[in-house]
Parts: sequence; structure tokens; C-alpha cells
Amino acid sequence: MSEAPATRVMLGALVRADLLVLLKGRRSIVVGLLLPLWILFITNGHKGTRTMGGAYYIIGIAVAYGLATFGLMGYATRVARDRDTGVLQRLRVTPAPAWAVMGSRLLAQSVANLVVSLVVVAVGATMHHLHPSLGQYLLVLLASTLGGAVFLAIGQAVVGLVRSADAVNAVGRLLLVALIFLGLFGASGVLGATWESISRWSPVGCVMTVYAGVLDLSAWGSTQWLAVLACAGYVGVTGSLGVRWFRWQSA
Amino acid sequence: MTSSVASTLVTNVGELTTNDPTLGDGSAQGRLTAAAFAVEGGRVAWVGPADAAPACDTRLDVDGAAVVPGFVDAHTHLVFAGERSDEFEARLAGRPYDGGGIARTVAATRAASTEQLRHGVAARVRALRAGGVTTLEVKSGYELTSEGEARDLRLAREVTEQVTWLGAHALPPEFAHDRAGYLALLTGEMLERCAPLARWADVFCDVGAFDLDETRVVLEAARTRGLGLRVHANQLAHGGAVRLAVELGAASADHLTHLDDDDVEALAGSSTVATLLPGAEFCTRSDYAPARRLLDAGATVALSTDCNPGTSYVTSMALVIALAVREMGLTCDEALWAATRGGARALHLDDVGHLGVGARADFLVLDAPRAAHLAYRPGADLVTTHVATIPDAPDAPDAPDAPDAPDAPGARRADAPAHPVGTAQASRGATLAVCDLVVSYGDHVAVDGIDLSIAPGEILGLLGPNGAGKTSTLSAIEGLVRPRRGRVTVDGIDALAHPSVARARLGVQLQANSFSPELTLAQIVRLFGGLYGVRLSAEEAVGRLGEVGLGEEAGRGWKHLSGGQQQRLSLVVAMVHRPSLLLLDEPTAGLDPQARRQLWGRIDRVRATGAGVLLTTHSMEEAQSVCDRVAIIDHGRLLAEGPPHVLVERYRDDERVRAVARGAVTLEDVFIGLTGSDLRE
Repeated sequence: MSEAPATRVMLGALVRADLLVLLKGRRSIVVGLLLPLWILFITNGHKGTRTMGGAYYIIGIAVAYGLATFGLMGYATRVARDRDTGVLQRLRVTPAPAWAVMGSRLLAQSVANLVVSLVVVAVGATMHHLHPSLGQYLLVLLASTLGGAVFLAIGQAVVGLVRSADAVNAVGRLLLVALIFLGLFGASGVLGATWESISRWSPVGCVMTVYAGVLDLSAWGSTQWLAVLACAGYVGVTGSLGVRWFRWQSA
Repeated sequence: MTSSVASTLVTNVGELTTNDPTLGDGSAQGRLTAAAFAVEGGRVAWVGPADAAPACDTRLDVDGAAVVPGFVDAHTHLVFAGERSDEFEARLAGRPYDGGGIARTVAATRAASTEQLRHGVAARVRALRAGGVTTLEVKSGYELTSEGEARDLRLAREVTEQVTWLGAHALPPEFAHDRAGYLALLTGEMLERCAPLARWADVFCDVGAFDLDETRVVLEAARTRGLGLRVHANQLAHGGAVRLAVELGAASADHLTHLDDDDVEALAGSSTVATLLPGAEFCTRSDYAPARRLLDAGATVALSTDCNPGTSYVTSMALVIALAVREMGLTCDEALWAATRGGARALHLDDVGHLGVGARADFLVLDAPRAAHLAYRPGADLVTTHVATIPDAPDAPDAPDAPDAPDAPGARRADAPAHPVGTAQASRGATLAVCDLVVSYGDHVAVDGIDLSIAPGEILGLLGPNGAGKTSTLSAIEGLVRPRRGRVTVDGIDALAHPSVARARLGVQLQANSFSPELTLAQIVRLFGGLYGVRLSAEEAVGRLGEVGLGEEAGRGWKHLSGGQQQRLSLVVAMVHRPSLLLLDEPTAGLDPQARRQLWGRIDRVRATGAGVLLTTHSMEEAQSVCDRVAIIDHGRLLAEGPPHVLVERYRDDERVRAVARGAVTLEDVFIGLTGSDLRE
């Protein structure tokens, strides 16, 4: 019995196509970059920076929002759209295994996450006169992988639990706004200690903490390690929900 | 041969029996010496003297051997479990013995698993093939329940299209005191269940089996369901079965051991073929049927093995020919004709049993200079090479616990090699085989025991009203839904066990195709090429698009295409890897007549490459124009199957069809007659 085409060949074709789709969907990349750059711009003063916990935290917030935008508005809505229009169904009747179809999308989105993270960190460091070392930039890549995974997993959960593309779009926007406000106002302490604590351990807060720790290694400690663990927990829980309840066809 | 199809010249034939009286010596055998014949596309394309043969792509020199048409075995009971050698032994030793007869085989068959039965059928088919059988009929009749008979018919369909429902083989034990009840089951639920699975219906009309009235009721009911008729007649005693068969226009009356002059005259004056089974008389030490009288009276005679576990566990047509010559008074030529063209007549087949131009190239090369050696050397394995039209027997796993017997004495070993010839078609394994498919969504059963098969180069149309189960059937074949029960085999690959491998052989056009709007057409083609392991450069992708007139659109997104262009793109994508089987789900929906015609032309060209095509459609015009066969389903069940014109012919007199027909009966009338006029969904 001759076999199906090699997985390597199929995955290569899928990743190439998904990267092309991302590249051509420039608007989502621009939107994903606008929010973090805007945050960097409006906090480009000592007062704002101090209020938000310092330059390292500001860059962390900016990157976290960029990744959240990509995960919730980019990945989730694109998957939901492709599910609604039958693009996924068309791919499923090929020899490519289901994991390769989804894995390729995640991989392409992760590449985009890394690029955006590096751009935001580089711009933020310039604006705040920081000088990260090459090692720190490498750590930024690691942190971006983790942070990107958190929001992709949340995006997967949304697209798994919500069936129609319009609903995924709406839920994604609401969730994104909620995370932004939680991060901005919770972290600033204006909502009180409880909300500050909730904010710190929210997905945005954890990713932000990890980034801040990577950019200021002298401050790395148990809080940062706990944030890493929390990120892993978010990935595990929301990712499992997303995979378990994901349907290839819309309702 | 100038055609683009590869051709093979079979040459240096010492004695060629064509059974075509327009050829050779002008006899019924159409015999030539020092002959040759050309095969193209699996059919005989030319016959004549070897020294006048046309040039062909390949050549098979048979070194002076005799060549005859493949045997057509028109009467077998291959689906059974168990064996009854003790009964045979006792009978021939003259000892009283009541081993249970058919009832014993019924019990064993009911107790056997489907896999065990499949294993047995496969072994017997291999034995028959090795002995030179290239077309065969297979009957049910050893389960005698609706479910069991349907199971047996499905197994039979895996090896032949000539499938006969023989629910009226015997009275099952649970109906021993309720003949009327069993008759009601036969003409009701069992017929309903089995008719879509069979081409023929048969009744064992004899003492101890079914009487004339019962036989008439069953056969007439079967005829209204579109089945052709056959009768087991006058095997055990003289009765009116032969005349009933003739009266009802049966294709064949079989056995005929006990005939009077009126019977012979009736057969001679009719188109009903007298199918004789000397293996049964040999194994039961009974009188032989009066073959000579039948031939002399002008009846058409066929010879078959009657392979069954009770009275004729024979898988050798050569033995049957030898018995017909030695015991029944036929000449060697008459016996050979009866075992080939006679069998074809009994099955209403025109293109097998002979080697005239246009016939299927089913032939046997004998290890002998003359065909007469088949009778002259009983017991010898003379078939050295054959080209068979019977699909390969399914590759059943070993079933050591199968309550089965070894191959019959005298049969070739099942693994005896059969040598395919040059480019000629060695076997017609199904491109798609769907067996007993059940698909359900929760409590809703969308597909309920459907059987389908598609041969290479064949287009099957799946017709049904909305919600009939068409898309669910396709989805199961594509691996999008997991069936609750059944088998799906694509190009010999178990699609449920190896979905990726099976999908690699499928080309799919979904009802609503969609591709990423950000990709250009060329990028889409390259993506799908990669998914099927076909690496295409950008230029090659544009070239593929150019084949369907989309070369200039290669840089555009698919959303910018018209409906017809989108369908063409879908076809390019579906065909990017030259699949063995193309699945098209309503491919012409929404297309204008021009685009529809163009698409039909493309589908036809796909078929010409040897790919099988399964298409669903609501257009009866499309089905009639494009499809070799159509299958009509409703409520998840197969209602009818066959070539469009055959279905029209079969259901022309059906009351349901007549009620909806306006003028001459069309396929649409048959469709609406069978599925009803009510609106769906």
C-alpha cells in the first residue's frame, strides 16, 4: 500500500500558504502594531511611565496587547471565518491530518507574533532609552513565544466555544477590550488593590510581568517565575478547551 | 492501432474460438486457426489471421496455444459458511443420512461473522478465477432473514454485478409451520431490503421447496421491483416450474433434470435459457438433465458450476464441460459454447462469452493446441493465462476460526497465479466499494445500509431528494464523518482504517468550495498540489490553470471569479494529483448551460484517464447524459441502481412510476415514482 504524501511536504505547503495569507492580510498586522505603538507613544514621559510601573512594564504591556490583538482578533477571527466559508472543510478532505492544518496556522501566527514583539521591544527600548543586550532580545523571543501561546490558546478557546464567525468576532473584541482595561487600569492601582491583584494575574498581567522581567533581569524573581507558570496554565486550560470543543464546521 | 489507448496484440494463436459466427469458419464457434486478435481499452478491437495483424503497442505470443473466451458461470451459491462433506459421503455410500441439508448451511451462515463469510467467498472466487471463470453470478439464500439476505447480497456485490436474491431457497426453521408468514416476509420487508442490492430474483420451485403458486407470487413481486427473474426448476421432480419460468419471461431456468416434452418445447420456443448444472448431478449421483434433447429442440443451453456446499461443491468449469460432454451428450464445441456464450445469454450480457470485435477482452490461453482438450483431459489445469472481468476477491484476512471448508476437490489452489496480459485489463477491481454504510447523527440515521461500487473509468450518479443522504454518503467516503457501521474502500485502501492514504487517492469537489480569499489561483493550486505531494512551480501551477482557460486569471483571487470559473478552479484543484476517484457534489449547481456542458466534457475526459467518478446531482438530464450508472437513494436507503436506460426500462411498468409519468417514461419519472412527489426540507 503506497502511503499518503509525506507530512513534511504537506506541512510545508500549508505553512507557506498561511504565511502568505498573513502577509496579504497586512491590515491585521498594522492593527496589531498600532495599539502597542500607541501605548508606547502616550507613555513616553516620566510621569506616565512611573504610574505604570516603569519603562520595562510599559514595554511589557505594549507587547502583551499586541499579542492579545493578534490572538483574539487575528487568529480567532480568521479561523472562524475560514470555518464559516468552508475553507477548513476543503482542507480536511485532503490527506493532510487535522493537526497539520491547525498547526500550520498556529506556526504562521507565532512567526508574526515574534516579529511584532521584536519591533515593539526595539521601538520601546529606543523611546525609553534602554539598551537591551543580545541575550535579552533572545529572551524576548522566548517570552514572545510564551506570551503568543497564551493569547493563541485563548483565541482557540473562543473559536472552539463560539460557533459563528460573527459571534467570534464580537466575543473577541469584548474580550480584548476587557483585557486592555484590566491591564491599564488594574495595573495602575486606580481600581484598588483587589483589581490590581486580579490584573497582575490576568493573562495580560502575567505576560507583561514576564516581559518586564526579561528586559530587567535584575528584577527577575519568584513573581516572574509564578507569572511564567500562570502563562503555562492559561495555555494548558484554554488550549484544551479550544481543542476539545473545536468544530470544523460552523453551526 | 492508431488510437491513443495502449493496445496489445495476442498473436500466434493455434486455435481461436470467438463464439462469433461472423468470424473465422462461420460456425457458432467462429473459429480461426493461426490467428491473432488485438485488445484495446480492455475490449477486442480486431480479430483475424496472424499474418494480417495490425501493429500494436505490446504483443503477446501464445506460441500456438488455443484461446477461448473466458467462462461465464451463471449459477453459483458462493456466500455460505460450513461444509457438508459428511452428507456427501453418506449419500454416495448409500447410507441413510439426514444431516440437515440446506438448513444446516443456513444455521452455519447465520452464525458466521461477515468477515468469515467474506473470507469464504474470496477463496471460492479465487478458485473459480484460477479455473478460467471471468464472469460469474452469485446468489444469496443461506440466511433467509431480511438482514441476513441483505448481508449476503452485499458480499456478493463485492465480487460481481450479477447478484441474485434467493430468499425463496428454503423455508427457514422459524417459519416451518407458517409458510404464509414467510411468503409475506419474502414479498414484503425482505424484498424491500434486498431488491436494491440485486439484479436478479430466483426461487427454488420444487418438491420440498416452494410450489408453483408461491413461486409465482414471489417472482411477480420481484419483477415489480425491477428484478430480472431466474428459477430453480425441475431439479428433484417434474413439475410446472419450467413452464412458469417461460410464462414469466425468466432469463433462465436452472437444473432441469426432470423435463417432459412440453417443457423442452416451451424452452425451445422461448428466450429463457436452460442452465444445466451437471456438477450437482455428478455429486448427488443423479440422472443428468436432457441436454441433447434441449439442444436438438433448439433451446439455448448454458452450463454452470452450481457451486454450493450441499450438492455441488464444484469450482471447475473445465470439469463441468467434461461432464457435459461425457455424460450429457454434448459435443466439445457445444459444451464450450454453453459454458461461455450460453452463460452470458443466461445473464443477458452481450459483451462477454465471446471474442467478437467490441467484446470484453476476457479470454483464456490454454495449455493445449485445441479447445477440445478441456473435455479430453478432465482434471488437467489447462488455463495458463486469463484476463478476468471479475473484480479481485476482497483481501479478506485469514479467519482460522471460520467454520469453512477447504477448496473443493479438483479446484486449483486459490493462490494459483493468473497472468495478466500486457496492457489488457487483468482485473476490474473497484475504485470505490461502499458496503453496508450506516451514518447517523445522534438518533437520526442519515445513511442506512448503502452499498455502492464504482469501476475504473465509470461515472456513478448518486440521486436523491434533499436530505436523502447523498452528502452524508460522500462525507463518509471523504472521511469527514465517521460511519456507525460499514466499509469504505478506495482503490483497495480501507478508508476508515487509513483515511489519509485513501484521501490521497480522492479528488474532491465539495458542494460549496471555498479557498482563502487572500491567495491567488496559482497559490491555491500550489497549496493543494503540496497537500497531495505534487510539488508545482509557479509556472506549472499557471500551466494547470491554463488547461481550463484560467491561465490569465492565475494572479487573481478566487472570489473575483464567476461561478463557472470557480467550478473550473475547483476541478483543477480536485484533479491536481490525478486521483483514482473523483467525488463531485452537485458540480453544476448554479451554472449556465454553456458552463454545464463544458464541465460535462471535462468530467468525461477525467473518466477517460481511468478515474472513477461519483457525482451527486439534482439534474436528471445531467444524470442521463453523463452517468454510466445511477443510484437512487432516499431516507438513507438505496432504492434502485443501474444504467439510466436500464432503470427506465426496469420501472417502465411500475405503478408508482406510471402514476407520475407524462408520456414516455423518463429517468425523472422513475426518480419521482420511487422517491415520491412530496416536497423535502
